[in-house]
This record gives sequence, structure tokens and C-alpha cells, in this order.
Amino acid sequence: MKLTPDQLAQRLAAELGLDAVSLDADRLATHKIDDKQPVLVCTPGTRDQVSAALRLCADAAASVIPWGGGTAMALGNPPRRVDVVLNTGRLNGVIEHDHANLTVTVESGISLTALQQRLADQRQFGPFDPPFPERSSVGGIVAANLNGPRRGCYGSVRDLVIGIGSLGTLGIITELTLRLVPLPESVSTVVAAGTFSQAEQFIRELFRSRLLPTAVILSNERAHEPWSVAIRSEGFEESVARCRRDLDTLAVQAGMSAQLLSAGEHEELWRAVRDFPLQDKRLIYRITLPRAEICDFLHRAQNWPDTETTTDNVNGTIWLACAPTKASVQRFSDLATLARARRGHAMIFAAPGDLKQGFEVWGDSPPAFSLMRDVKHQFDPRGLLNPGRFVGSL
Amino acid sequence: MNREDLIGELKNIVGDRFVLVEKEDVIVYEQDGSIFQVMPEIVVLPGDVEQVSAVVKLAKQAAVPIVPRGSGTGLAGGAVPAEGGIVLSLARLNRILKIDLENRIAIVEPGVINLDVTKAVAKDGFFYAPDPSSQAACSIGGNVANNSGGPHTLAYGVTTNHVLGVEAVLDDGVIVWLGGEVPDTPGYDLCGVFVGSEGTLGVVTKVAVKLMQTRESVRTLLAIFDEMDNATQTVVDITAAGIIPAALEMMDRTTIEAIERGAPVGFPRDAEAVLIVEIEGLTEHTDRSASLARAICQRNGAREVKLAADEAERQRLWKGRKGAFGAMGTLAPNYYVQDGVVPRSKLPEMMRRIAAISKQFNLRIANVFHAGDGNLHPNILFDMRAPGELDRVIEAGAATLRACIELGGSITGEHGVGLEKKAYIGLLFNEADLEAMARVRRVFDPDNRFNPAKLFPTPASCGEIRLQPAQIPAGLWI
Amino acid sequence: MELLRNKPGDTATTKVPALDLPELYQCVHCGLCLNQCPTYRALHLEPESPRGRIHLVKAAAEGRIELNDRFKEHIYLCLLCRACETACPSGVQYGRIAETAREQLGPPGSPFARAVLNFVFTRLLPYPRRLRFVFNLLRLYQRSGLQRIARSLLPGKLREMDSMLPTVPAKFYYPVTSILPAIGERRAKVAMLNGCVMPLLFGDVNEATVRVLRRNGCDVVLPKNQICCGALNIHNGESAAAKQMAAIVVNSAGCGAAMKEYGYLLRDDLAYRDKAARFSSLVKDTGEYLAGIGLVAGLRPVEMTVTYQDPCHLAHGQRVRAQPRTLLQSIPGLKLVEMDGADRCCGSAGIYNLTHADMSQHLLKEKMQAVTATHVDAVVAPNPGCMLQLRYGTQRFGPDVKIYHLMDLLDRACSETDLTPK
Repeated sequence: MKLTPDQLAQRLAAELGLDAVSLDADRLATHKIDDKQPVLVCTPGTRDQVSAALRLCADAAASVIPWGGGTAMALGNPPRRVDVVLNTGRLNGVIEHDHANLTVTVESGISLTALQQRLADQRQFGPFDPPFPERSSVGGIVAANLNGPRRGCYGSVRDLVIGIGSLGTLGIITELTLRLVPLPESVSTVVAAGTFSQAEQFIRELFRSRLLPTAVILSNERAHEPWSVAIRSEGFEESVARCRRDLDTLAVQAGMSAQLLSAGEHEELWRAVRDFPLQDKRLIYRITLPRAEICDFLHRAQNWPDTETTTDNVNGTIWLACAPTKASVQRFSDLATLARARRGHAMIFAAPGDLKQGFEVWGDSPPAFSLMRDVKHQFDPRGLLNPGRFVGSL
Repeated sequence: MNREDLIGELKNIVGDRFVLVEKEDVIVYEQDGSIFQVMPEIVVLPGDVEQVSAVVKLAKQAAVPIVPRGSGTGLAGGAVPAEGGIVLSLARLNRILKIDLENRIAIVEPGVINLDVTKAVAKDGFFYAPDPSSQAACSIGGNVANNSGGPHTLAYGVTTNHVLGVEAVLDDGVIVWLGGEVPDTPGYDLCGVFVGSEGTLGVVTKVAVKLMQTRESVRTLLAIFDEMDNATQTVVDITAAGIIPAALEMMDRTTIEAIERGAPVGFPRDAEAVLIVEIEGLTEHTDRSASLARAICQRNGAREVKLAADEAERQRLWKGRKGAFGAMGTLAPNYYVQDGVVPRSKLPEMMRRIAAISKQFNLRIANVFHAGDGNLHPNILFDMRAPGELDRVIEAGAATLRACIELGGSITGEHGVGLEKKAYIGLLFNEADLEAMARVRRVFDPDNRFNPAKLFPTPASCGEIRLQPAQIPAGLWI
Repeated sequence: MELLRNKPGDTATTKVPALDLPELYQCVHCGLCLNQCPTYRALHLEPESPRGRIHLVKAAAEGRIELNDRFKEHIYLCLLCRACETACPSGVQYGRIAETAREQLGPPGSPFARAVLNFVFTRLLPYPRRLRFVFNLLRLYQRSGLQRIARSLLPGKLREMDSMLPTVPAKFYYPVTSILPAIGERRAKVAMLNGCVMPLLFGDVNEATVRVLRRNGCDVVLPKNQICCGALNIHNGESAAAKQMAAIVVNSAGCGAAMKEYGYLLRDDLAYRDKAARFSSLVKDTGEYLAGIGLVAGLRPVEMTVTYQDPCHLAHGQRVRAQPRTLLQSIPGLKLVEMDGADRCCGSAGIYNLTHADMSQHLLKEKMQAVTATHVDAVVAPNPGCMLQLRYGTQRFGPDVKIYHLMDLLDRACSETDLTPK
């Protein structure tokens, strides 16, 4: 930085107003990224203020870490430098809800829960399921590409907006237009429990049927058995009822017991699934595979102690939550090798900062990395946006 | 490097028969599905990715523009070599390399015909979702370049939603995979950047696409309207009611006439508009959705709502719809198709504006479009022989695009910008937006050699673009 | 580097008004024909596609390119199968464009080949007696053992051509009487084209056709003095036959397609155009006609699995597809299995298999592969050209299946003797 924090704070305050800048120690402490504390937190209130803030920071050669709801700050490599945290929390308006066209334009800092509440009047919703929706911001969901278990049905973040997954390394999203979906008439969840091989057979047959579940989650808790498969169905009453009937039959054929969840159990289960990838004080692996490879992969990797597994079988994603220890980190190269052999990839999705030092949490370097570096250079030639956190420490 | 050396080298790479230089050969590559013509100097048809790479490298050495071409069915001039040079036809890269039903992935070469992907997996109960009207002829590579849609985009999304990864040859000949066989590959979404880049970033040589499972039940309704306003209002009401059809397509009276003259399928010629509503899913779902949709049609004054009795009848309806563009030849020697988008709720207003534009410029306009997406395809019918008519056509086209933007829409839904609309792209994006795109382009194609003079509103050597021929015998077009 | 640049409006040569057909301007360059064109599918070159050829003809008409050998190659590599017409949403009559271009270019090949073709078309085909004489000679050549000797002596290329020669059957079909009455209740009176080559190579098919028609209540008239497709000579004034006929039936798809075009061909002939149009409206393919009036003869089972090859001039030229299939499926015991690309050309295309042997054999090979995949006993192809080509295909590429005309099988089903293959 070419300026002292105070100097930068004054310049920002002069342009954005006093309430947009904070040097308060407590506030700075709540904006740590991998244990690194910023020197200043800036909370612009408009799109133009974001632009002004970025310009002033660039003039001062200060690095800028975009911060939405702060739920996914454990994602990515430890930042090279943390000067300014740019918190989008005040950019929380709904600009236009065009219900006839099933779209909504929002400012990027609005929390998903707040947005869903606004949309509910028209019986619509944004079909995202990121962890901690009450806190996570729409801009952050997009920047971090946080997909949930229903993406197979409603589309991934990439399908629902434009320009995703750059983890704030190219620019800061200020407004987005999202596609919406009508709220379904009926939702229900069936859980089938049994052995691993029963679950495997059940899922295989489920995918061979014509049913169109919105989500299929295979999970277990720390022990090897039992495994449970949760199947979520949404739609007209009669479609959901049909799914329930067919699922019962499939479960019986696989020798499993199927159970229809109560409304409370349903909420509880999907909250757990949703929040799983960013839970606190665990080391989370994400392995993405062609979906038919999941069971084989788990078969080889499941004998770990103290590990919970939640897999999204529609979309081919495995989440492993392990103890936050060095031993857990050392499994990374095995997992990456197993994933690579199945045309997939593995990454450390979240971990305490100290465990992330010294290696690449994003896993194998992508084949087009030099292009990515050039893209980054075109958009952020001085490397001030979220420096170091993205793939290859971009 | 002189011309002869370049040709000799190209022949060494791909073989003599696949380098075309005679005028009687290259002239047919001067046009695609649009009305623009510029003749290439050389046409090269590589047979594998290594040959593509070698040709691209050679073109860089010789500093010659290189324009990738699939089946040449594009409607915006994307495959027309605006600055001459080499047309790189990918028609021979037409192998389906892998079909993995368990994982619902296929890996295909860019020259594979869109419909052939579905044909290859249909017997196993799968399909490839994006289905442009030209799907019997257009290539997957062309679909990737234009991020093509199709009637079933409404429920299933466009090409980018179905492409997991592409193998591409970059400007220096390097072959690289962007994305892969699984989603969420770490790093910037360069595959997403490539899809829709209209051949300006490199040459796609393999595409990993998603396959979808055929739905248990399909219901297809044909609703016939005597008033255009009622038909457009029906579209608004159907989606507002929370029904998401797999497809929601509209054809107006002029389009119906074209279809019925060319390859008749039995659309009523006296109707002002027909609407095809298709619903897919579990039987329980399609039954209820179809009856809801029928009720909405009737409430909006549909003269008749017919349910396709069987697959043959359904296919007939679609044959009419998908042949609509080609059938324009039965009404006029030339047509200029627009590809604007408006928010669905603005459809009634937009159709009124198009009618007004038609009147103002004294040009017949046939409308056939993806109503559910608000993706319009006004076809301005004209006759190049009539003095001054082309100028009016271009003005009328610009007027429709301006109307789209005024109503909160866009100038291209799925056909791409190409040569056709690059002059209008400034209406949609501001300078900063365009600069952001140009930055991406600079990364991939610093010498501006891949499909130059496209997409971006740079002035090209426009004087050399020839619009379709002029000498037409009178009296054929009644 | 500076490359040659074609300037807009370049006129390299003189315009050719004769090529400036209205049909050209009905093509909007959409490309839906490409993937249906056998030569494009084989080569993936735009100049070998319908859209490309239309573009070339248009360019030649405008004087942008010359009518040179290169141009001619593109025009003559076309099979004239007209599959593109079926695919065209604008209804462009490509066949007319290609035929006009060929008229303008003259026949293909060397001067010698051209002289031979000219002889065949003008001196042989129109004269049944001369034709019969030639086939008698050919039969003699094949049966006397001369062919066997010749094959051992001929150089490769000629030997291959010799192997494509169809075997001339022992019997020709020229019935003595020209009116063959209906068997059972009389429902209609039809004229039938005996044809030029059909009675010589496929006399049995013509015989079968007559039997099937008669058993289904038709008086069959075989007019005397027929010549090549013009048999029912419309230039002979108001054809006596045509006047009272319910239909003029033809069991050769190529001839049927041509005869349905008489109205168009003579459109400028003030004296004959109305008659020609009326004549054309009466022409029906035999299968088309029979499916239309419905079979009344009792049908015996024919235990056989077959696939159906759409002759181009029937499916694309006459848009007759469903009727022959309906007739086949009405035969008890017969199972119809569709093959991939049933309406794709087998590569016969008149004399194309001789003028463009490589492409023809390529297409035939693919066709035989499609047949193999269906595991059938026989292929049904109601057109002599296709039958000859497919028979040759079974010898050269396999599978070992029979090739039948639709009328062969209908005749079996209608007649009393059980002819199920052993």
C-alpha cells in the first residue's frame, strides 16, 4: 500500500461518506480471511460507490477482498495480502422483480433468505441451495459458484446467471439478474436406509426409472454402515405422490426400508445437506466425478475414521467432512489421484487457515491455466483483487 | 510465405483433396444460412485435431484470417469469411467419440450433426436437449459457437447449459481442454466463455455434452387463434400460471402460409396465429399441465385446442415448425431473419410494434418464434431485385431490434451476432461491457485472426461484403 | 501477405440465361438438404451438396464462374436421387435445376463414352426390337461359356464392369394379347407400362404385376408399340388408351417419376401440354395404385422377414413411401423390419454405377451394411435399377439375401402355390 490505512480511510470516507468506512478493531476482527485481518473495512452503498472504492484502492495499491455474507471465506488459498475488505452488505436492494417473466434483478449483497422472502409473495423462488442462506449473499453465491443439491433439476449457478465462479478475482459483482422458478405445489422427501451395496443398487435403479427427483443424497455418519439415500420430489400433488409410490417399490426391491419424512424432518435434513460444505471446524473435501463413479470412489475411500460423507448423486459431487488435522490434509493427494483416474477432480473446499498453508487447495492445475492467468492479467493487471486465493494463487 | 507455398503446405497437412482453391469450389463457401457473401481464398477440411492444430499454426505464420465453419446453417453470417482468408470446414470431424449413458455424457467432434447425437442414443431412452430448427443439418460445433437454442430451450436451456467441456485449438496451435467431463472444474469458466464466442477465440475440436433421459410422457397441444393479441396473452398467462412447458412456439398467419405452401403439415391457413405447447415429464405432470394450458388457451379465446393424438401427429407439427425458415422461400426470394428477445410479458406489445413496422416500411414480416422465451424471429420478406427494397429491409430490421431493446430485451436470442448484428451490439452493451469482452478476446486471439470482423462493432472491409445476387426472373413470387 | 480477393460483383465470364431458373431463387440457403445428400455425406464437401450445386448453377447463370470441367464434375457427381427435395422446407425442385444444368453442359465422360451413351439413348432404348436383339446376344454370351472365358482374359476394370452385368433370364415378357381381363369382379381398367428393359431383365416381375392387378379386379391393357417410358405415346395424339383408363400403372419407379413429369416437360408445347398434364395425372406407381384401391384378393401367408428399400424415384420423386409398406404389412406372415437410411440412394442411379463407380460402390457398401444390421431374408425394392444394384451388392458385400420387387411378394401371397423360401 502506498498510503497508510488512515489516509486511505479518509479518501474513501470523503468520497463514500463516513458510514462506508471502518477502522474499528472489533469490526476488522470479524473480517479475517484465513486469520489475516484487514486494515480497513469498506461498505459502499451503491454501485457507483463500489466503483469509486475500487478506484481509490487501486490508486493506493491496496488489495481488495470482496465480502458478501462471509460464509465462504474459508474457500480458496490463503490470500497473499489483505488490505481492504469490501463488504457488499449495504447493497441489499431488490431492483426489479419481474414476476411475469420469472426474473429478478437484485443488488449483490442481498442475502438469499431475504430475497426468497420477497419472492414468496408471488409464489416464486430462486432455486439456489447454498450453505447458510440466511447469511450468504447472492453475489457471493455466484462468485464462489455455490451449487446445491437441486441443481440437477433447476440448473447450476452458471445456468441461472451470467459470469460466474471467479471468486472475486476479476471484478466485483454489483447487480445480478436471476432466473426464478414457481414454488412447487408439493414437496416431499423419502429416505431409504440400508447397506452400502443396497444403496448403490437403489440409486442405480432410481436413475434407470423415469422419475425426476429434484435431489438424491447418499450419506452416512462417521460409521461405515448404515447408509441412507434421501430423495426429494417436487411438483404437482399427484406427481409427488406417484414418486413416493415408485420409490417405495424401488426401496423394497433393493431390500431397504423407506420412510416418508415429516415436514420438520424434511426441513432438518435439507438444512444439514445444504450447510454441510461450509460447516465450521472441519476440513471439507469436494470431489466431483461423473456420477456413476461415485459409489466406486466411495468404496475405495470410505474407510476413513472420523469422516462424514454426503454425496449429491444427481450431480456427481462428494463432500467429505474430516477432522481438521494434518493427517486429514495428507489424504489430499490420494483423493486427487482417485478422482483424476475417474475423470474428475478433488479440492479442499474449506479448512481452517493454518491447515491450508503451503499447498494448492484447488487441486490439480487446470490444463488451461496460462489462459486463466492471462485473463486475470487483463482484468486485474496489478493483482489487487482477492490476491492469491484463486486457482494457482491468481 | 506466398500463396502457392501456403497452399502446398496446407496440402501436406490435410491431403490434396481437402484443400480447395478453384473458384468453382470455394465459391460455395462464400455464404452460410444468412444473406451475406464473401468468398474465401482457400477452404481447408482437416480430418483430425492434429491437422486443425497444424493448419492454425500455419495460418498464424502466414498471417491469414481463419474462419471456422460447421454446416453453414447460421443465420447471422458467422461462417462468412468477412476478410477472406481460410475457411476451416470442420465437416469431416464428425465422429461421435464416446457415449457414456450411465454418466449421461457424450463426447463428439464438432462436425457431428446435432440430430445425430440424439439419434445415436434415442433407442436407449436419451436425447441431446438443444434442438435448433436446423438440427437435421447444423453441427454441434456451430451450436457451441453460437450458443444455439431451439424450441425446447424453455425447459432445458441453451447449448451452454449442456456443454461440460470443449477441446480447443488456440491461436498458436496448442490443443487444450476447457472444462471437462464433470462440472465445476476449478478456475475461470473458460468453457463457458468459449460457448457463444462465434469462432473468435479458437477452434473447437471436441465437445463433451450432457445427455438427458427421455421423459415418460409428452403432451403436445396446438392452439389456434383468430387474434394475435390473444395468442401472445396466452403465452404470458401460461408461464405466469407457473407452468413451464418444454416448448412454447408461435407462428403467425404469414408463416403458416409459407409452411403450407412449401411442405404442408395442415396448419389452418385462415388463423392469425397458432401456438404449439409441449409439456414433458411424468404422466401425472403432463396430464395436469396440459389441462391447465388448454384452459388458459380457451380462456383467451382460442378457436380450437387440439392435443396431438400420437407421435406421428406430434412429429408433423414439429416438422412444420422446424421447416418454417426454409419455407420462407415460397413467399419471397429473400428473407432477413431477426433474432430479438423481449421479456415474455412484453410480447403482445412487441407483436403490435412489429405489425406497425411492417406497415411503416411496407414490408411483409412473417413471425415464427420461441414465444416461451420471448425470443422473436421476425422474417422480413423481400425481393432483392426491387430497387431500394434492401435498404428498407435493413432499416426495418434495425427498427425491430431497437424496439426489442426499448422493451427491455436483447438483439440476439440464439443466432449470434456474426456479421449481421455487429453494428447493433452497441445498442445493448456500453463501452465498458464491450471492453471487458475485448479483453477476453485479446487473451485468446491477440492477432485478431479468428473470424475477424465479427461480433465486435469494429468497422470491417464492409464494402466487400456482397449481398445475395440480384438477377431474378419476374413472375415467380405470387 | 496479400491473397487474391474476389471482388463483389465479379463477372468472370458471360452470363448464362438458360440457367437462370426461377427454382434457384426459391433456395434460401438454409442447408437442411446437406445431411440428406448421399454425396455430401460421403465427402463432406459443400460443392458436392445440393445447396452447393444450386449455388454453383446460380453463380454460372450470373457469369461469376465458367461452365468448365470442374463445374461439370460437381453437377455430374450428383445421383439425382432428389433426397434433397424431400428435405427442403421451401419445396425447391432441385431435380429440375440439375437436369437443366446437365442439358447445358452436355453428357459427361470421354467423347467415346458420350458416343456410346448417345447410341444407347437414341438408337437402342426407343426400339424394342433392337433392344431385344442386344439382350439375346448378351444372354448367349452369358450362357455359352464365353463370359467365363472373357473374364479370365479381361483387364481388371473391364472385368469388374463385366461382373456388374445382370444375368439375362431365360424368358422375356412380351404377352401376345394386349388386354388381360380381371379375375373375379371387375373393378377398373388400367394401362400398364411394360417398359424397355423390364420385360427383358424382369419379365417375371411384369408377369407377376399383371397377375396381381388382375386378381385384384383390374383389366390390364398392355398397349402395343411401347417405347422407352413414352410407350403410351402421348405424341400419338390423344392416346386412345389413356382416355378410358382409370390409371396408367408403372412398376418401375424411374419410369413412373418421368411419366409424372410429362406435364412439366411439355409445359411450353402448346399443342400437347394439356394432354401431357392430363396424362401425368393418371400415372400411378403400381404399389401406390393398389394401396389406393385396396387389395381384394385373398392373401396367403408368406413367412419371411424383409426390409424395404425406398427407390429414390418413388420416395423422393413421387413421394410414395407409405403405400408399398402398407401392402407388405398386409401380407400375413411377412415381417417388415426398417433399415437405417431406407430412403437413402443405393448408388444405382441409372447409369451412375458405371460413370461414377467409386461413389456408387461406396454407397452400395453402406446400404448393404444397413441391410446386414436388420437380419432379414430379403430386400424389397420396387424398381429395376435398385434391384440390379442390390443383387450386385449381395454378391460383392453380402449379406446373402434375396432381392424382390414388391409385386413378386404380392404375387406369391395372391397365388395358390406356396413359394416360401426353403
